[in-house]
Amino acid sequence: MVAVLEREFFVSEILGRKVFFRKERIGRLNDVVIVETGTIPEVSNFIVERPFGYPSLLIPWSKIALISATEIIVDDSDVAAYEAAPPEGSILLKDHVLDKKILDMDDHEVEIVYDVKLVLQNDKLYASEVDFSHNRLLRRLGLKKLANWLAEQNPGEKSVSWIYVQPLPEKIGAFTGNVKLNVLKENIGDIHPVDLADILEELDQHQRLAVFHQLEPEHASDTLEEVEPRVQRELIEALDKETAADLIDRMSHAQAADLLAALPADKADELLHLIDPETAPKVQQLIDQHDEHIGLYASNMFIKQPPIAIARSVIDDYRHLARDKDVVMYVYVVDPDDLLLGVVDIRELIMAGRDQTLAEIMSENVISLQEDATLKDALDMFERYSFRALPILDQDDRIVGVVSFKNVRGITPRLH
Amino acid sequence: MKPGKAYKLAALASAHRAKAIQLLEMGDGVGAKREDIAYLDCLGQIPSMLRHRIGSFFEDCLRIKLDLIRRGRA
Repeated sequence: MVAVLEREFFVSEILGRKVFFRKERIGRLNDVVIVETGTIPEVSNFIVERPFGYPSLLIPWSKIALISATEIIVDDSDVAAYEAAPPEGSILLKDHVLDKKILDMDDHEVEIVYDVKLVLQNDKLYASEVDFSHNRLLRRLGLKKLANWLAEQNPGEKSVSWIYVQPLPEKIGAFTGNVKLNVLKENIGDIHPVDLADILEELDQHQRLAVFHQLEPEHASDTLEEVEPRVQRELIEALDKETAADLIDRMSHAQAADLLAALPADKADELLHLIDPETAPKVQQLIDQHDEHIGLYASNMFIKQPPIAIARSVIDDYRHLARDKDVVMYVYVVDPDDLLLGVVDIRELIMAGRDQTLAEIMSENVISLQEDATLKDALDMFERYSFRALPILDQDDRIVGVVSFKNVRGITPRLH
Repeated sequence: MKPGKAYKLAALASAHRAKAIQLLEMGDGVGAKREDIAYLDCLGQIPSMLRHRIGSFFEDCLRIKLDLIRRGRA
């Protein structure tokens, strides 16, 4: 039976502790090996580092007799019997988990593990929780006072049960044939593609690819739609062409067009030839539409008024002003040469003092499109700013038309 | 500075100036002075190269504002 001073302690507190074989000091604790045993992993071995020239020891947990505040005692004297390296596929708390990114399955976030809590129960030691708090990092650095102060300031800093976390392999091939990656594969299917896209964007390239390769094709396709274009390009580049084409085939035409439009032209053309021949022309048509001139979708039927117009008068005349207009939710404020000075939302007009001029209440920093903008530019702008219409300006900043969201959304189902 | 910003400052300046005139006529010298300071502050922000361009706009705004005030008073 093992004796410990505390039933709960952190792995960082015992790493580096002196290890004795009965009374002979033989090295220091270098790492802790865990194995999957249901929900919470169990400590199977301690790895003891010895002086230079001596091999490390792999000591089964069952041989540990005492963990005191200063030392660890092994109940044996035959040192040579434990000279072994950890088996391939082992999970080492220091090497594989501490300071590594972890996927928190509860919050679907990527966190950095600063410590792991160990709990003794029925003579077995379990890795029960991972700690993401900076408090633990500071303690490890020996800054106890600062850590205590920080803990008082941020009592909410968290640790979560191991059952909600999965280590992310640093690169494909790590943890070969291992249990954790399989568990990761099972659970990752539960994460919504939008959340998974956020997670992938936070990871470095190797981790991102490792996780992405674990996804089922349908889930991978949905997730690929959601990640930002930079990550889309990177993932597509890393996949073989047939796999990439298969993922694109699972998307809607508009989503496939969005993705291909984000790729270099030669790569997009290559993939277009590999996707379903019935789908390809429709996707190509949508890509072409992205490059279409925004003028094709613009209207010159919008409300424009001089800056000196009084809010009260504009409201009184609004029914007349809005008649036959395509864009009625904004009043564009222009000078005699149609130079765009500002814009007033119809709600701002109603809220304004009745004697205020439009110049007083207008937003003068107007988000606009240039005459040579494409439909894709407009869609990006609508997605970014959520406006209901955007003015189009010529090179002298004169308003030449307005494109409304309702006129372009029919060809971009993704923005619905 | 974009022309739109200059127009906005000129319109705000005219509103402060009209209010200052109204307050002065009502015998509130302190309030009028406060409004005049705001008026000068707005005008001061307009770059000199744009002031000339919007000079007539400011005068039109001021005239309309004073007209609205007087009609409101009537």
